[in-house]
Amino acid sequence: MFNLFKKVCLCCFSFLFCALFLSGQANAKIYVDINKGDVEAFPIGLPGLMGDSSADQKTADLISEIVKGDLTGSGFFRAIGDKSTQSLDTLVVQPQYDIWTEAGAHALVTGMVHQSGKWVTVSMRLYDVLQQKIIDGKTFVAPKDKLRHLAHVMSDDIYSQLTGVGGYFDSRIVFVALSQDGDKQSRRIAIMDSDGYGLRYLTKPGDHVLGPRYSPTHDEIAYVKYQKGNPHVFVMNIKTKKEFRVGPDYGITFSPSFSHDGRKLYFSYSLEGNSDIYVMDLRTKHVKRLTHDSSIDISPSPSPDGRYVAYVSNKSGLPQIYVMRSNGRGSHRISYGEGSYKTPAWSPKGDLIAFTKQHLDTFFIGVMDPRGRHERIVSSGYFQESPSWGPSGHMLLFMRQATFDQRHEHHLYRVDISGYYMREVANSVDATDPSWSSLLDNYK
Amino acid sequence: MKNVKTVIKIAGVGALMSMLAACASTTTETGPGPHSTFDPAGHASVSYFAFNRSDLVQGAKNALDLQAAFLKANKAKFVQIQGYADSRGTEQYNIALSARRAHSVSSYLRAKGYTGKIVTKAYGKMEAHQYNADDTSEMGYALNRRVIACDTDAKNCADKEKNPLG
Repeated sequence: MFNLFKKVCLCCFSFLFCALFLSGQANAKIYVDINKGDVEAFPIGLPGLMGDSSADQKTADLISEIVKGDLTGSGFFRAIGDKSTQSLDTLVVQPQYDIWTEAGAHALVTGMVHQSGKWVTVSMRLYDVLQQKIIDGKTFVAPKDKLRHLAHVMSDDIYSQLTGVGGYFDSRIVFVALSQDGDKQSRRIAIMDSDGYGLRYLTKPGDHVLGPRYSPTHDEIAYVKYQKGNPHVFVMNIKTKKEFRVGPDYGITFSPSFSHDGRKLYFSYSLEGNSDIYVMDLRTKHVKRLTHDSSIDISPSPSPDGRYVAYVSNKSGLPQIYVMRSNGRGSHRISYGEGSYKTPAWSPKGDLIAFTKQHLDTFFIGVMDPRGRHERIVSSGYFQESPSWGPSGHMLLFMRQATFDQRHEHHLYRVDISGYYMREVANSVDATDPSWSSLLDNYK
Repeated sequence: MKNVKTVIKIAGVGALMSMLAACASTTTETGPGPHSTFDPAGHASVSYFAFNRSDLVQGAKNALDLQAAFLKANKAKFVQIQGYADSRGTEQYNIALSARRAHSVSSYLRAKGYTGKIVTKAYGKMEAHQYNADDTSEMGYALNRRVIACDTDAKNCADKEKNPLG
């Protein structure tokens, strides 16, 4: 029956991943209110998945470990139990709710793993232990060489079912990796999974690069590279590494940002010291100027519906955040707190704009609504900047500087918009300028 | 007659060079903070800026007056101008600010009669001052808010940067 189901599944879907409901509709109950801020980590039973064979068990253990790392690493969950709490073979048939209740779990994840040819199939169940009922059941199918992505998709599903908010685990981060090459600091554009695995470099050590931005299509990045002493925006295809330079041969271009459909690229162009915001249609290469004043206009960030663009201007003296319509009209200032405001990032939900604020010698990462109201600080310290939104619009990624033995280190941190759950991203030492992708699809 | 004119011209240039040499590294600002200078031997000037500003203070103008005269006297054909910012702002803002500072120096040299080629660079905060890369004091920040302008005979602008603290 199981094999028949899997064959049907593989035949029906030409793409690499499918998730099929085995149970009824997703439960609307919110088990973990992550918007509340100060909440105790939710206890979830994670005894591990069971393999069909010893080879399958190895794969099951790896997927279980990744899912556990994702959920507990978010700060919203703590893992309860292991294989000894209830034997996996009996667990797959039916959980003994009293055992898990006694162990302190409020929810429970079980599942079976089966491998066939190039494919791995995971049948997962998510239970409400206290109410003794199934919350969700799905089957995930993926190529064997995409196990980590399959596990992240599972984590996203569990996270989403229990919090009511979309997950962020099956995503990537592009950033600038710093290293010391003799007297010179080397900067390379790097890319890795959201949990720090799969690190690879996209540019050469000798290039002077900064400000990479991930395209919503996942195929491209835009970044800034110095050529002959001046910065210029480039768009690179991640797979082929082919790239083209944006803007004219004269002047400088910097601070690129993709539109949310990936079809346009916003950037700053500076000629004779005057920086303005421009937008380029990536298909036709047609460029349009959006701001026309003599102030410094930089850091464009378009709204997800494409109707507005947030940006930074120093037209009032200090750098502040402004919002204009996407045709460049109707510009108005939205930041009025103490100090300067920079690096606006419009959330994928459209409800918030994240920013870097600087007042005296303190830097703040915060959010406000698109009208500049309800400002909320989520992190503060000596030097931190460049907030970038996670896929579901409730987590931010940013760079924070720390000093160890008189040496400055740059690390990437992830924080929820309540500012309560802050975690350092694994393998992010000497990393800066992060840009968080949307959720991946088809295991790219 | 022609020879006399040539001698007078050479003498004039020599006097100017002597005057400039005497002014080399002369302080042109008062109070705390680094002082803008023009070093004719190094063929380079360093202009310092106030926080978040790109307009030239009087000390920087004095140094650039000397450099403009030197460039004209030497018929310099090429000047490279490098703009920098301190480490406190964001990368993007500092690029724009350093470009604006470099343009301020470029415009001033033009206004003072320099007609040769000018190439400007906007380094932002990426290349901290070689003498205080990790200095996060006010003086450290001030040293990085600078524009270096050098002519053809300065092989490398950065190499011509003198330690303003002596």
